[in-house]
Amino acid sequence: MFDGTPAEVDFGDVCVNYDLKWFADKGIAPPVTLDDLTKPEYKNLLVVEDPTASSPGLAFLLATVSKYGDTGWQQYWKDLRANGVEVAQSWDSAYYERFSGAAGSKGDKPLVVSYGSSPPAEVVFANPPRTDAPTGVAAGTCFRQIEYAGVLRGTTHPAAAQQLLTFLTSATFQKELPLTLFVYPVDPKVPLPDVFTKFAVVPKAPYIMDPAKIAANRHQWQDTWTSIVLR
Amino acid sequence: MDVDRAALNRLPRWLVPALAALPVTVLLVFYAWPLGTLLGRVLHLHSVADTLHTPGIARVLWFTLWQAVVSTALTVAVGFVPAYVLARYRFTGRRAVLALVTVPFMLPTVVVGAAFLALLPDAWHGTAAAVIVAHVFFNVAVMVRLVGAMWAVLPTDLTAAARTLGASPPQVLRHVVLPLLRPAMWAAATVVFLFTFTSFGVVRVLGGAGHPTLEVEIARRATQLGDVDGAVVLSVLQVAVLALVVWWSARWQRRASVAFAGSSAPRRARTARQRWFLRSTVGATVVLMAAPVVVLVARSFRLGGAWTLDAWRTLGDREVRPGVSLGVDPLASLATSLRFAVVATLISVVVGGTAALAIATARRHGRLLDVGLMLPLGTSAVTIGLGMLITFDHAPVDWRARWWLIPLGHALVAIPFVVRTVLPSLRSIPADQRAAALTLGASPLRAWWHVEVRRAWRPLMAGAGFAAAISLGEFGATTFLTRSGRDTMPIAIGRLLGRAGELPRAQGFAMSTMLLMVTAVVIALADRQEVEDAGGS
Repeated sequence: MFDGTPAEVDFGDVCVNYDLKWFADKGIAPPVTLDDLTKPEYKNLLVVEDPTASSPGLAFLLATVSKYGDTGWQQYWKDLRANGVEVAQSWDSAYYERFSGAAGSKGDKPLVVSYGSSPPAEVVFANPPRTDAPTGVAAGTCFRQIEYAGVLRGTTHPAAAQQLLTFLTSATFQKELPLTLFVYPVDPKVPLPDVFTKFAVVPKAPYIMDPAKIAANRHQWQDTWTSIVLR
Repeated sequence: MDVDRAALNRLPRWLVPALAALPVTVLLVFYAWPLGTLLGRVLHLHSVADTLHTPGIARVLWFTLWQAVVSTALTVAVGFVPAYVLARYRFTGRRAVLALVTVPFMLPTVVVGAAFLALLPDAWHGTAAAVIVAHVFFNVAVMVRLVGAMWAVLPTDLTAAARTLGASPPQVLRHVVLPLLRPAMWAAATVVFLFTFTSFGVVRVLGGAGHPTLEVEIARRATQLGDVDGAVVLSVLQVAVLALVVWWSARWQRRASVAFAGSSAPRRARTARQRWFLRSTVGATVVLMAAPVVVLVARSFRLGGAWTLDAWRTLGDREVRPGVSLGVDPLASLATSLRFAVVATLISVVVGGTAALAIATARRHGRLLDVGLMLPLGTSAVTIGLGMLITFDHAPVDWRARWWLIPLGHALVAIPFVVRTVLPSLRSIPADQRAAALTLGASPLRAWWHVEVRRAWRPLMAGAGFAAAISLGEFGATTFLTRSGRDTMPIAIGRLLGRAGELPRAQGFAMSTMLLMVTAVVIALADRQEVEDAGGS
């Protein structure tokens, strides 16, 4: 599909976010790992996205497959379902309409599958302005997402495509990434904005999976997930 | 002598083929070819096995089947008494009630789904019960129209004879009326089963992610999962089931058919008991039919428990909040829908009109074209859309991204309606009109033009109205062929209703109300053309 190897452009993590205020009010400690999410004190609190319709949803599913293995992840989702997990059809819907920690949201669920960079986003878009993040990230639930760009095989504009690729990996473009797309630049020399260094969480050991394995099994995992969780 | 005169009066040989050329070409290229491609793909047996072994597919099949059976049974039960009352009793407002009962049937399926989303409490959303209730509402019109039509012509002498022999009314119903009504009831039950089996818009809006039917699953596989092979297998499976049902039902209908002559005019309610019966039935029917629509309109004006115009005012906004776009421009979708409706209507009128003329003029041989044009109606919209998607994907027919493919898909479904509207008029032209034209010296072709073609104009306009209504509300085929920036109103409504928030949902109700009003206006205009035409002949 690609001419040559695609280049890495940015990375980010898909993690469970929690509403700090909700947990502080209830006096419960927010969850940290995937195992925590099936515990009774977190019953009926989590919103996930449908992995067949949403890429963060798929990332979360892949995290569970990565942790519990090819045979164990079905039981985990059965446990999640028994613990009252709600499924939304898109990240928009889950985060802005069901999550209680998002600004302007009327949702009532304090746990949502979102991005590791969602807390800084809440600070950046806060109106009235605020200096602390209203949400936190459960570092043990993260799945690493790396975004690539590549030149498609058979293109009629190979030179222009190559120019675009070079631009995407240049410092000029990379330094815009945090505050526009809320992802991390792959170039380690690019400085991150304060909001990111203060509130974003980059887990040290996120779950990660070989793209070839994902491509080979994705459909089957999605179908199995649908029959376990939705039907 | 007679032979010579007959030869002089015969229409030119090339007329029927010339008329039939366009409809046949459209049918072959845009319906038969895609369907053939679908069937051909299934010949790769490994994908068939793969799809049928997908976890959960058996549950989808089972759900599709049982919800269709339950919906059909309930519709027959619910529609039985209104069919009787509207067929046999005469009362003020009878025509209005009849129109009210028929309106849900012509409504876009998304609007019906939206109406029940507004009417039913939250606990019902995403349940099978909601889907079934909406199906009953939608299809009662079929019972009233089909069974009512037969009940209206049931000869009273049979029932009167039974009464004089001492039968009580329930016995008369069981032993005389029901057996005579059986063909109409079978026909109605079959139609309702076909519609509920292939139901798409209603299930998508009300069933949620947990209760898909075969149709919704096909669309999901093809457009969301990218599993086109799986979608094709399911599609062919659905066509096979439908064909089986139609064949089986046709056999039953033929067996149950009893011919009888006569008609009886509807009568006024005479006794107090009859009046009570009439009023309660009509009242209940009106409430049942009107409630969902009324609630839909009302809910579009409510947000957070208060009456407000916010949902309507913010319809033009694409952004939900900074940087987060809705993905569809609601007001622009209205313009797109109207544009597609105009093109689809033009295509339907031209193709349907020439087809009706060809069928009427060809007499015996026209039946083949008639049946052929009806086929797209029996094929689910999703199958038509999927077929087009996988057929027109290579040069020189790489048309799947072309804008005109969508109105063409709409036209395929609308053409049978145009033909059905025009054909009776053409067939009812008295033979002496053409004979008169011929004796006045017109050539056969000219006589045909002035008598038959001119005659088709009014019902053609009525057919155009129905075609426009169908195009405005089409959801299934459009789901496959839609491209961003070219969303139609049903697609926009589907997106809005799919979100969990209160504002998008209220916006969805507002858009549904708009679509409802536009459709109602178009149908009212079409109906008037039909009535005027019937009165004029």
